[in-house]
Formats: sequence, C-alpha cells, structure tokens
Amino acid sequence: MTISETAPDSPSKQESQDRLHRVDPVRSAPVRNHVPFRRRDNGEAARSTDQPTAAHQATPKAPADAQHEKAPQAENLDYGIALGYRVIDDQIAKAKNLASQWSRPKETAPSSDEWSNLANRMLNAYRDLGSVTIDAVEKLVRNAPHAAVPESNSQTNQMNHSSGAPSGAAVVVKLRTSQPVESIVSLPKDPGGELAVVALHGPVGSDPIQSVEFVREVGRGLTLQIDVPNTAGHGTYSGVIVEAQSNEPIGTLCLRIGV
Amino acid sequence: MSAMVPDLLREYGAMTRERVESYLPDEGWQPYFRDPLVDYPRRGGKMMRPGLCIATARAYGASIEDALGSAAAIELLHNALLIHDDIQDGSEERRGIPTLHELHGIPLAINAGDTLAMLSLRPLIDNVDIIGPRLASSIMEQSQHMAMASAEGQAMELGWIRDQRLDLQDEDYLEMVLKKTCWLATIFPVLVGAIIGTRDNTDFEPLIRYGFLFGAAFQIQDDLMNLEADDRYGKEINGDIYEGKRTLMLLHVCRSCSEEERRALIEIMALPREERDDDHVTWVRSLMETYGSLTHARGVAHGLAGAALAEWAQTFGQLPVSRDRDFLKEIVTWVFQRTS
Repeated sequence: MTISETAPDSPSKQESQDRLHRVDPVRSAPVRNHVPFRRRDNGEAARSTDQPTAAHQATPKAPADAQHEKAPQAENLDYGIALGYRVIDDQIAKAKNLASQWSRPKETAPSSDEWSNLANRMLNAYRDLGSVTIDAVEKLVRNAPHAAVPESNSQTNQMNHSSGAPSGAAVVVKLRTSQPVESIVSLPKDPGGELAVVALHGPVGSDPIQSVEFVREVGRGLTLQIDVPNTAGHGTYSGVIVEAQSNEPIGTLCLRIGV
Repeated sequence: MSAMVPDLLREYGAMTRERVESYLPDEGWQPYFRDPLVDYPRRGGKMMRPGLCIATARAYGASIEDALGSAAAIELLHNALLIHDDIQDGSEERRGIPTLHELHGIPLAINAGDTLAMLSLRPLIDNVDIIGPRLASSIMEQSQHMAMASAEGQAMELGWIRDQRLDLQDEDYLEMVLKKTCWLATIFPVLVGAIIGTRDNTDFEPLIRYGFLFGAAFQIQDDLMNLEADDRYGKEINGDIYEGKRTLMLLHVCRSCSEEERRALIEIMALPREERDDDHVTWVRSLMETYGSLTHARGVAHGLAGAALAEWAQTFGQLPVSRDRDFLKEIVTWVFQRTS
C-alpha cells in the first residue's frame, strides 16, 4: 500500500482532461470540528477514551458496530480525528517508554530542563562553529594557489562572467542590473539544443523575473542574458533551466539580489 | 484549486531530479545493472516527498541547496522501496508502465532495488560537507529509524495477507499506515527539513503528528482512488482488492456485512491473487458500495486531514509567512483534489 505515483501531466494536458465526476461530498473541506480533539498544551490527548468529549461520545464505540454503514459523514469525520489521535498518541507514548528504557542515566542531573536545553544549544553552536572553521581552513589551504578575486558586481550596470557547475557546462552570464546580484548557474552538461528558463521566482510578494534568455553566440558558446528590473526586491530568486523543445529540466538558476 | 502546490512540486521536483540524476550510474556501466536502476527514478512522479523536505527547510529559513541532498536521498530510497513493494505485491503496473520486475525479471529488479537503497546513503554522506557533520549525523539517525519503521509496516501488511487476517481494527490499519507509509512519505521529509532549517533545534513530536495525520489522509485517499479513479491513475484499478490489501474499506465492509456475506468475503480474500478473478473483485467492490465503506473511509480521511491542519497551525502557523509555509498547509487539502 505504498503511496503510488504516476507520471505528471503537463499543466496544459491536465487542464484539458476532464475532471472526475463524483457525487459531491456532504462536506467539501476537511476542517470542521477538530476543536474538541485538539491536544492540551502539555501534549496529552483531550480525546482519550477515559475523558470523552461530546464529539467523541458521538463516534462509534466499537468498530464492529454496523452503524457506520448509514452514518452521516460528520460522524465519520469525528471518528477519523479521534482514531488518528488515538493511534499517534499511543505510538508516541510507546516510543517514549522504549526510549526511557534504553537511555542511559545522565552523569550530572541538570538543574532544570531550560538550563539543559540552553547548554545543549551552546554545545551544538560550538560544534557547528568548529566544523565550519575547519572546513574554511581546509578550503583556504586547498585553494590558496588558485585563489582569484571575483569580479565585483555591486555597482556595475552590466556584468559578464562565466559560471556553471564545477564540472558542468561553461555559460557566460550577462547581467543587466542596478543592484548587487550574485548568479549561480547549475548546468551539469550542455545538451546542445535551445535552452529556456522558467521564470525566476523570488520572495513572497515579489514579481518573478521574466527576462531571462539563453543565446548561442558563435565563438562565445552559451550566453545567459538576464535583465533584473530596478524594482526587483532583495532576496533569492530561483528557476529551472529546461530544454526548450522537450521541456525536460536540465539545470537550475539562482540569483541572489542585494547580496 | 490553487496552483501553488503543483507549481511548487514541479519546481522542487525538477531540482531534486537533477540531483538524483547525478548519483545514477552513467553509460559506462553494464546495461544489466544500469538499465533497471535508472528506470523508476526517471518515470517521474509527483515528487511529494522531496517537496515536503525542501519546503519545510525553507519555511524555517534554510536554503534549497542545504536540503537538496536529503531530498534526493529520500527520492532514491522511495524508488528502491517501490521496486521491492511491486515484487512483494505482484503489481503489474507502476506509473502507467509495466513494473520493473515485469520488464526485467525479479532477480534483476531486486538487484536494482538493493542498489538504489544503498545509493540513497550517498547524498546523506555528502551532507557532511553541505550542512556540517552534526546535522548530517542527526539526519542519518532519523533515516535509520524511518527505515526500520517502514520495514516493520511492510511486514505487518504482508503478514496479514499471508495469514489471511481480517480480524483487524481501524487502529491496526492506521498503525500499519503510520509505519509503512507515513514515516517515509511525510514524517521523515518534514523532520529532515526541520532539522536543517532549525539546525536541529526543534521539538519533533508536533512534526510527527502533522506528518502522520496528513500521511494517513493521503494513504486512505490513495486507497479510495484505487477503487474509484479513471485511467489517469497510474496503477491497476481495483488492484488493492486483487492484491488482497487490508484497507479501511475492506475492514469496514467485513464488519458491516451479513454473516453469509462475510463468509464469502473471507473465502475470496483467502484465495491466491491469480485465482481471484474479475467477478470476485466486482462483488467485493459492490459490497463496499452497499455498506457505505467508501463513504466511511472518505469521512475518516477528511477527519485526519482536518486534524493535520490543526497541527499545521500549531507547528508552522507561527513561522513567518512564506510560499513554503503555505505549501505545507495547502498540500493537506490538495490530496483530495489530485487525480493521480
């Protein structure tokens, strides 16, 4: 009963296909009466069998009860909510019991949960810092002979630079922008045909950047031309590079505006 | 229907496919090995699992790149389990095409499934360089737990079929769905996204509740679609009855029908798959209709989805408004609108 998946249709194909015609359900939205079943703040199930709520009492008590067959859907909804919480609460409780049986006693008891959490977070932060520092030193040591100062892109109106995945296709990026922009092109290989980029979507509320175009120039190879509108908000914009004819995704493009 | 969920699934799905592709063997490998291996990952799909992982990470503020390796690992493992699942269930079609073992034979299909499962570890190891050893190790720990739970759930279902068990309660069914389906399909992707987005500084329990309630609603809807869908559905219609799957509808009809009908039902479900013919399946299907088993299951699925939305409000509702945060809400109701 693993969830099955089928090949997705293109949006246009999906729209052109007829929808399934089924009898309208009595309820069209799944959220209705979950309030009585909400957990208490301490995580305990309010709808456990020993503390029935009004809605819980209305749900079938024994699964063998044949009243389901003519039960209105509202009852099935309530039953579903209660059943779901019962199962997950039970499983979480079992997991906690198991974990407490197997966990080793701590060497020093923390003065409070809060202090313990803070200490753990501090420890984790130091671990991360240590790991990042080692990574940074390693990268510096490895790249020292090849280190190059990247072309500044903060105040220029038009910038050209090559980009691509470390072992990917070479792409010249022509950026027309009045803002500082960083571009990251991930294109493992150049399939040779015409390429396109689905609009670059950015932060919520911002308009997608539409003016993105691949051009093949004789002697220069593949060039990516991007016009960043002056009104584009700061943030990360990303999109998928596709083969224009087949619409197959072959890479990604990311712009960081305002970096 | 909002296009946000399919749009975002397409966007994150394309990125994940590209990353998955980078882990698949190239043409230099033996075709007996490579061809079955690359088949399922290239058949497409909704990419719900990687979508959930990336969206959760982004909702908490992480970058796509930080979550992409984990999303690829999830997709690789999912495909590995699909191959084994299809063999165990004797399924004939997957995503509208003959299953891998139908095309290449069971031994080569098992080999491909094993390899994909092992390949799924690679992006998790590569995570060390991307998100650091602490987060990478935390994700590996969760993935081990998820793998055990998935295998346990699979064993529950196969055991019920082998022992011809129909004395099951809805709780048993949901426990099996929690383990077999929800851990890999919804809980694990959300947990991994949260580990990355919060730098492993979050309470897992509400995320597990959200993942389970949403995943269970998804699975019941999937079971319903198996009985009701049209030819856009990628699997054999009524395939679950042919395969003897213990679904909420089957358990409901079994306890709702008359003694005489129950005896006939048990007899049919005890038959080996190859002896369960079209008449048997049509009769079971109509019995479900007669006793309102589909309506019952649909109601339960809607209830679970409602509870999942309540958990979303408690877990993600406090986060800054973003497309990814809203996706995690919209996807709960999207499960009832999809056709495949």
